[in-house]
Amino acid sequence: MIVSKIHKPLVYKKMLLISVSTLLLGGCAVQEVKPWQKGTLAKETMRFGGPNPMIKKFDEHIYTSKEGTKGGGGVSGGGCGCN
Amino acid sequence: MRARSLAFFMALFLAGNTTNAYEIGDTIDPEITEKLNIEHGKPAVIEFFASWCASCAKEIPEIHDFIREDKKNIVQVIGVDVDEELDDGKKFQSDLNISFPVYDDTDQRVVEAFGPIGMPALYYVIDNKVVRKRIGPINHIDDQIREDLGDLGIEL
Repeated sequence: MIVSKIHKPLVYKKMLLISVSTLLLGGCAVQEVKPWQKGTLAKETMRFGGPNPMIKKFDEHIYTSKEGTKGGGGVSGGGCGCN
Repeated sequence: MRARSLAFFMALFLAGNTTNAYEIGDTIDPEITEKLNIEHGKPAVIEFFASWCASCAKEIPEIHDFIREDKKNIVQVIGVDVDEELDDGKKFQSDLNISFPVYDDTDQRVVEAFGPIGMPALYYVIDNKVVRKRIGPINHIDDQIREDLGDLGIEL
């Protein structure tokens, strides 16, 4: 009984420390992009190669020449496929 | 003591992970009802869309088809444009000739309250309560709305 009384404040301190650390570390977490916040991601400037299609074509040409393969750079689908 | 600690950390974890998105059966806040101008006693279909959402552009003409079919004006169709840039939203609305009332949710407060997991999103609201929702692109959405309303006991 005496031992638990001595240890109680220590336990609470530990819990408080973990809680505060969890909250602080939570602030560093990557915030997910919500489905309605994808306007910026949908902009042309966010595409591979940027808004200029020639840059992408040029990049693809280098890739094809060096790797001897092509394709696989596109993105398929657009919906969430929830239904 | 261990059980109490576990409960405490579970509560802490859940507090950081819960969202207040509307689910079926939830009552809509009066503030949102006012913003969307939802008429009491009339079933409402709320369509969330954005200019960058290709599926939304496909769905909206079909929603127009549904409105044309609803000759007795039984259902209130409300659009919520979630574009952060008002100009983008207005251009999109004008390009599609949207005929139903649209709320420009530039601060995204309304969509945050509903919290759909994808776009476009369709919510059915009766007496300020969410009664059904359809998330994501759906082919022939006009037929789907009619079917859903039929299930809810609303015939056009």
